Amino acid sequence: MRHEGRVLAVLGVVLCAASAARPALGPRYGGELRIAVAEMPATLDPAAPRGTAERLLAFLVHEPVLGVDDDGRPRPGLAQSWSSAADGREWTLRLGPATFHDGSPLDSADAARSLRRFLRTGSTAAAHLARTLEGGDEFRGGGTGALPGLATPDETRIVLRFRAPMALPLAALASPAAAVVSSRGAGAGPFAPTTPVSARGLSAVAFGRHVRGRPFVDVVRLVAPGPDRGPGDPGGADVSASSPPLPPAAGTLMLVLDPGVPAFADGRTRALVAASVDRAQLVRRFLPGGEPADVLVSSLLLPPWPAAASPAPAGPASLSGRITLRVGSDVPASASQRVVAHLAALGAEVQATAVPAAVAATESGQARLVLWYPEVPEPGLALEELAAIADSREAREALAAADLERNADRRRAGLLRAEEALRASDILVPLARLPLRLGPRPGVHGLRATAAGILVVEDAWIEP
Amino acid sequence: MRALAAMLLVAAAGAPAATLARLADTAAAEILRAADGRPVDLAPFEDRTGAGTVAADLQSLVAARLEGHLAAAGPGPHVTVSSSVAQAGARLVWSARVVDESGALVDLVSASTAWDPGLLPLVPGPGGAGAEAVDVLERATTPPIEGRIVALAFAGDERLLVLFDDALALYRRDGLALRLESRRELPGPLVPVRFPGGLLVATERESACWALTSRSPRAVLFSMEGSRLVPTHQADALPWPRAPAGVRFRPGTNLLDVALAGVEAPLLALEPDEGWVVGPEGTIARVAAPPGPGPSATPRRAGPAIALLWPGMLAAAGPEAPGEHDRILLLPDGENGTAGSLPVDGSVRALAARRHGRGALLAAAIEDARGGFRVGLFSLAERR
Repeated sequence: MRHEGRVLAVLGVVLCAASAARPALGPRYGGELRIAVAEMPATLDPAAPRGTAERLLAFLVHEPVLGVDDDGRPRPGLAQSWSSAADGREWTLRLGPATFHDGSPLDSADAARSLRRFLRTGSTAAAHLARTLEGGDEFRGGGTGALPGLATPDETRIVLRFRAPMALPLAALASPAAAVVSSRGAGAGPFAPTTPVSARGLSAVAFGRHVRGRPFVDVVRLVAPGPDRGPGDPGGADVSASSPPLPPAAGTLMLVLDPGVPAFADGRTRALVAASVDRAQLVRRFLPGGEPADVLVSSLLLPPWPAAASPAPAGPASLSGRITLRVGSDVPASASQRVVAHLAALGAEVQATAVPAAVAATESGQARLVLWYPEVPEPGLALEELAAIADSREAREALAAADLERNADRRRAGLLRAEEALRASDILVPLARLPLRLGPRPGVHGLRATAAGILVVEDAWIEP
Repeated sequence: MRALAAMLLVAAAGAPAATLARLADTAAAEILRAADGRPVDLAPFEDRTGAGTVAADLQSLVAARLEGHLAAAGPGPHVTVSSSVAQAGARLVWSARVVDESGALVDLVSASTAWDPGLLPLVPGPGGAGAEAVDVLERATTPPIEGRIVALAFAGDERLLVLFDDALALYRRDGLALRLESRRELPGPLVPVRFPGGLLVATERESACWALTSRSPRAVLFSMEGSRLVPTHQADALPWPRAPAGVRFRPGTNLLDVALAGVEAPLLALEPDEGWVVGPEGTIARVAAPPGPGPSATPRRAGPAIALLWPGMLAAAGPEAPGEHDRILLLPDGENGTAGSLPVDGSVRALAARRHGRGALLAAAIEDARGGFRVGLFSLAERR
């Protein structure tokens, strides 16, 4: 009896352990929210985001068909309900009443057109969807315009037919690149842009007919750095890098080593680099709000497990030659200097080059230091992105097996195997987990960040 | 009052223990599958739930299920299982690494369990002080409930009505759990409201209740026929004492439009018995307030939920804009200050009270930072 009481007491603590509370009195409508961003994206078109501003824009002006919840299961977006048939091979999504920013009605033809566009983008989620959808690969390859796996029987229903039953076949639809736009380019997200995106910024107004209701603030302005405002200068912004960062710590600071270059061709050399960085000290001294990262995917996506410890490297004890390290613009400078120091201590001559975050994330180099967020906050898709970066056949095979596993627990075990296979090659070296480097000033409430590093503005409100 | 407290004091809480037992069953089966007949060495479970002993308790349950398969210390073929336990959303997740005697990986395994939505365990929390004039005899909280709660009401001593933004549910207290008896969707079409509000008025004598949310076009009268909720009538507005035109929600908001003597609409919250109201800025007022010590020098403020505990004592959500935690204020009539407060983890979104002599059972809907809702029950007694 005493033992059961202890179980209950502890469970009580677990269940009550909410990290932060929402405002008690409730939100207020009105006001203008100014968000200071370090760099602006080139376009408003839906795409897999590669930098902070792109992630911010992703769901500011656009809305996907579906989102994903903490377990990777669908949650409503433009589609309000879904059901499966044919033993899980066929899924029917039902759109709720919705309109685009320009007032035109949004129907299944718009969603289908947007999904067809999505399937031909460079998004990892799109590649995954194409691989699993009937006729998806052929369509993605451009060899045919036919896509038998996608149908629209009427104005509100979208039917997806998959090659095989899967655990989470719809997760890819939550990619920002899969957002629905009208034939004239209008979005359906919570804010409607009133100015084109430019180097100076962007303005958007609350969209009264958004599927989840009108956002609370009237206007959102993204303010880019200019002659009178440096990247660290909030310039009167309500949300900026000078405020305490917004949890959770979901971004992975990661070193990417190219095994194709002589310096890192030997796995033992990569293991030496991976073991050389003192993660706890890196976080403690240079990354406030961060956490040391021993695994590639944050615990928000894959619950913690007793992960394999990196074995002590048995091989070369030093690096030699010259290494070019490309550092993403969203990586804190102090952290990159520390990593350079670690590599130099191993004997390498390191030349660090700052590059835009999107370049660091997508273009290969001898070594890259990137702040990585998954395109979709679902562990299978996240690991698939990483497997693509590392070009790991073993991880891809483990992921393919996990994909077909419909038992959630066994699928999770398969994903753990894939993560360990990825990490074992020491091509991707996790260093730290970082919160979004933006935060609200006092008096601004309701902002939240997702596990994909997306700043969700639609529930934000400003104290009068 | 004792009966109410006793409901919360039942020592053996079957539901949470059963949840751990279910997880232990699955975990043990996975371990045996991976061990493939080899003896098992069970390393101490790592607790990543943020609490102290869930892992140790689960380990005891798993070990009991592996009896006869556990390895004696020493050499020889065996597998070693290193486990960790974490909370992911409303699920408890166990994951483990199984290695052989040489340390080579045999398998990675995982199991998880969720709460049964039809039987929500009431997990006891600390009771005790927190109020000058009120004793907190017991308190208990459910795990997160699917859906967004906008109002609560008791229907008798044992039953709780939970109004979601799209449905009405009837729960019965069953030992240390809430058992779902009936759930009915609200008639549509439901309109999207970013921060919806709701109002429930239960009428015990008639075994019925009126329900209205800011998402639904009309108020609905539900009758409680045995354990079933049956919609019987609809109206343009929710009937309300002293308000001939009833109550409506201001479209797209959680604000209430109602014509009451001496009170300016819109309102955040209403209480039917003594006529307490909360204005849009959180100021508490009373409809046609009876003569008393006079108006408060400083208006008292509250959040968007109030409930009358017993005559002259109001429970209200805290008025503070954001903080780590919310609190339930205990506000005596005719005084300026509070009689204390009950801290809660999350924001109080709805309150309901069931009077019982000079005590009460208070139910609170609490929203956490991730948007999950739990129901907390407090057994309160007036301090003499």
